[in-house]
Amino acid sequence: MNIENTKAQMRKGILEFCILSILKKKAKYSFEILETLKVSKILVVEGTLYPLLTRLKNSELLEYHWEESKNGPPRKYYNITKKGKEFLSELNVSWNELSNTVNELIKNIK
Amino acid sequence: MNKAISIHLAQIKFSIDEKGYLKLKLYLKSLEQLFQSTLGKEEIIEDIESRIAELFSQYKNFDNYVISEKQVEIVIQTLGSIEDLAGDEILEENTNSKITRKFFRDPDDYWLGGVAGGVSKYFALNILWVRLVLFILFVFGVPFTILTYILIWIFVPEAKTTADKIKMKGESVNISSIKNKIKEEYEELSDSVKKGDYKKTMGPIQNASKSSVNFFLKIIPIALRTIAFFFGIILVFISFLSLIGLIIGGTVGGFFLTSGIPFTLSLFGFGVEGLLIFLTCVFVFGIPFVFLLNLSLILLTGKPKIRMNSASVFVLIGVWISTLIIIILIVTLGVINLENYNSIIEAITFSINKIPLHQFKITIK
Repeated sequence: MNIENTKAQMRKGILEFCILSILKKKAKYSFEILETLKVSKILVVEGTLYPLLTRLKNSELLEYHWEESKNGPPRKYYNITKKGKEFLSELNVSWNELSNTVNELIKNIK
Repeated sequence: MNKAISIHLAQIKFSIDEKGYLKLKLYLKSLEQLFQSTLGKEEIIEDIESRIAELFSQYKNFDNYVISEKQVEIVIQTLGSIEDLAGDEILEENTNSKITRKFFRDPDDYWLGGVAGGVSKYFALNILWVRLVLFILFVFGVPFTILTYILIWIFVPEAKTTADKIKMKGESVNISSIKNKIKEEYEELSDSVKKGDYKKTMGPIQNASKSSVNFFLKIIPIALRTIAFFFGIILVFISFLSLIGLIIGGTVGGFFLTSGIPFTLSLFGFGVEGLLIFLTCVFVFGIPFVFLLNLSLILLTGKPKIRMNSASVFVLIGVWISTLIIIILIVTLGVINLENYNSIIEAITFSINKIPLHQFKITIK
């Protein structure tokens, strides 16, 4: 069992959950998603985001459209799909369950 | 004073300081290796390049602004070093720590095609032993060994990427192994930069201002290359066919030449002289053809396909000269032997003639 591995898997799953939550209301481009994630300190480096976005898009949970930018290249604006929304609500339920259970468990052991 | 190199990222043109360019290039190359087995690799790289372009655009205050090495470093830091990113990526597919080796040709340890290197990595043996075994096999079964070697050379891929090289050695592909390998490659790259070997690291660098003047200068090499290409094809055919012909002809010839001659000591049904003649023939005629084949491949592809370091070239030349001497010796000795043989036969016929016919009996067992 490799601790790094477990951590990476965990962070990845949680990050995907966070990205879907961030895009729940409004389409955003990668840098805006980054800023939100950076504020909450869940994402350390930007590069991690791009593979995740591509994966979510390939799983049809996200879709994107291009928008021109005044300075720099055109931007990909991501928004959540219907499938993504369903996925997110399921994740929400299991997240709540999970965090409750884990918190209970930790509390009881103490 | 530093050179500035012009590139484009996400369709935007940037000028970058030379050292910064090298760092960026290495970074993107490493990213490609990192994501090579990830679905949607091209898209991920594109997204990252586009983000780099966006960050560069923030620095670019005026048209001819040159992005500095420092700025490249900052951008790489923002996006995350390979190590940071590797932590998330590599593990995905290699959650099991089982070590499986894959057979590749080793591009870092070769005399000819890196087959011995690959075999040694695959079986975790010292390459010297592999070469020794290969040599022994070569001595006892030349056509088979050469053919196998060539087939492996053609069909087994070279370990090109970092992940390939790691798989070849059977280390599990994880952060630390990728990190080490990339570090090694970076050191190699910066070494070649120090030596001024820009061809290797930078590829063609466009020099826009001179392009129109150089038009004719550009045409000539293209024409030369085309001619070289055709020559190359012809030479490849000639030398390859000659090598194969030599191997087959040598085997058959060496066998027939000696199997019927009485003074030959028989060894594996193959006369000792036959074996010697055959081996020396292979070397004497084969080695020049190997060089010829190599030359033709250089003409064809612009780089040697059969890569030889100076040591192996010397060894080959040495082998060639010594086999040449051996073959001359064999031929001269053979002639002497043949003369002896003739005189023996003469002596026999002479004495037979002297014996009265009714006393002469031949028994054949």
